[in-house]
Amino acid sequence: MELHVEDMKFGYTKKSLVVKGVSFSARSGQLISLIGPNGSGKTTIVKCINKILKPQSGTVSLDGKNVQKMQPFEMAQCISYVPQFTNSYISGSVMDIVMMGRRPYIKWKISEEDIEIVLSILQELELDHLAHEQFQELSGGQKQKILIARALAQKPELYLFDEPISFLDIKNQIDIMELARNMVVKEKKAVIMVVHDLNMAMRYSDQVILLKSGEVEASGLPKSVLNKKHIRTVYGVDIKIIEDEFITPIYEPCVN
Amino acid sequence: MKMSKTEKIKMEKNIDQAKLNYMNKRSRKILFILLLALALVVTAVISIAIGASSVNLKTVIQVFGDVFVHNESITDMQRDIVFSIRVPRIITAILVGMALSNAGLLMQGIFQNPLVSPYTLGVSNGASFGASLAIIFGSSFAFLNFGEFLLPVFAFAFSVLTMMMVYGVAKMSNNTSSTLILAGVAIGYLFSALVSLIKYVSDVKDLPELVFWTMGSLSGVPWEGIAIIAVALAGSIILMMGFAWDLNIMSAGEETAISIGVNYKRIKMLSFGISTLLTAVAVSFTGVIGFIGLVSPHITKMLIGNDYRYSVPASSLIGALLLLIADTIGRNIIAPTQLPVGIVTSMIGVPFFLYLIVRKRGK
Repeated sequence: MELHVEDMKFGYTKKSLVVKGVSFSARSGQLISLIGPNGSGKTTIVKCINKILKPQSGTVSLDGKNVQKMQPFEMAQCISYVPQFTNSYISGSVMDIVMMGRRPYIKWKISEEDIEIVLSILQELELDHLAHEQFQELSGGQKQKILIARALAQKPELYLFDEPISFLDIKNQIDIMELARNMVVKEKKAVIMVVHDLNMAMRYSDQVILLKSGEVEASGLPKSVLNKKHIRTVYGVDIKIIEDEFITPIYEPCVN
Repeated sequence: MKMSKTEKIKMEKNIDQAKLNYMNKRSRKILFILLLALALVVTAVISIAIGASSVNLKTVIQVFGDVFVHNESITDMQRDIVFSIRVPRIITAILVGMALSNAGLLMQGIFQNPLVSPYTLGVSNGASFGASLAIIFGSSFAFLNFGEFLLPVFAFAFSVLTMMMVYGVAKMSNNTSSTLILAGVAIGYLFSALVSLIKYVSDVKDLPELVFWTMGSLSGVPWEGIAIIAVALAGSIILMMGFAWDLNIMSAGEETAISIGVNYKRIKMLSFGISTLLTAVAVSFTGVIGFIGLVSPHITKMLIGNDYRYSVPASSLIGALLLLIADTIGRNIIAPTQLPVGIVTSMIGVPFFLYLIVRKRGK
């Protein structure tokens, strides 16, 4: 699977662009982190890839096919999306929520195979004990994992995660990042993740795209992108990088 | 991590057990729907058999038997009471209950707002304005040759016009759910003010009919009207069941729905159209019957959950049951005087609804 984003431009109003000509590629077996300050266009890029928003110009192609020309179910079988926030109106059991991910394959009746797929995903994520619980009664971390399970049920090649760890405790953050990493390493899927935590991005990403005001400030290997100079330029913050030869660098903001 | 043979067997066993649980849950829902259908049939039979006149269950059975084998003891009056008064009224109650309940179910789903009812967007105000025009100025529209259908045609036309205005205003803005609701409330007020104006300038002798219409009544709906409601309802239920999966996913929000492959805009428009149609046909023939469209979807969700594949039939049956029970009480409790059904739906529905809320919170 290869995704190409070419010169993507998007604005919520005609006058000002939020994304100003962004280009990058992703392929199977890669975890790409989109990093940047609030309002730099990360979520908008993800939504444009997934046709939730339509770019004003530029193209998004998946294996050479323009996603704007793909049928809804065809696209949902290739790309899945885990949103930043869960809808407070959504209700139903965990099984019901994860089963939604099978929609691109279901005409009307749920087959035994669909049930098996959903249950085995829940079991793999060690969430099977929650199968019949009500989604709204779960903790934030559990909800996030269930939404990821729903994305897995779509059996896509590309996963789009919009800030999946922003509101989670450290254990759940690691669980989800490990899960994403496994999908990339073991399943050879591609993951594009919007993330704010520089340490997590450094530890788990293959590539990092650093955005500033809707433009790519730097992209490439995490170590080359997440340096003091770029962080200073993009966030206006000085950081201390704690680094030795054995561990992933740790970023610590310098506060006066 | 490689799984041992024992672990694999255990995992498969767990999946089989979970699958069985899931299927049992589905079977229970289907059984519940069948029980509701049975309850509706029983209620309908009881409802036919009781009323102000002395036509009891035995007479009703004899009247129905008379259709196949002529029974000399049955009088024309008894036949008229059963076939021209009670049966049409009960069928109307069932169909209108189903229509309002499903319209509410769709509206609450589209707007992701449990306080929304089929009337939130001003349909009932528009219909009331159409009805008041027909009642007060009916003679001026005699040239249209609608006869007894003048009132329902006007009520329906102004319901649809209201919806078009609401949608048009919302579209001029950003077409979000909140702008639709605000536009609906505002335009509803406009039509409400126009109805008041008509009442203010109209002749006192015409007012009771208008007031009575706004309270809702299931009596006197012609068979043609019943057929129109039935066709609109059948078509709507078929469409809702066909798009049940998409409607389920839309409850997760627009972005999720699009990302799972749902054609969000198309289904939203369709739902909006179905809901308007169901409400407009029901209101046109029976006047404004409140509460069913708000409370019945809630009761359905509390009892059977949100899955539209089950909630559409369940909500249809619950809406029909509620309205039928309310109407049966309304026409018998202080017989021979009949209470308007809209008053009864609220009086018996509100305590029941509050009980369900308290019970749910208690859990």
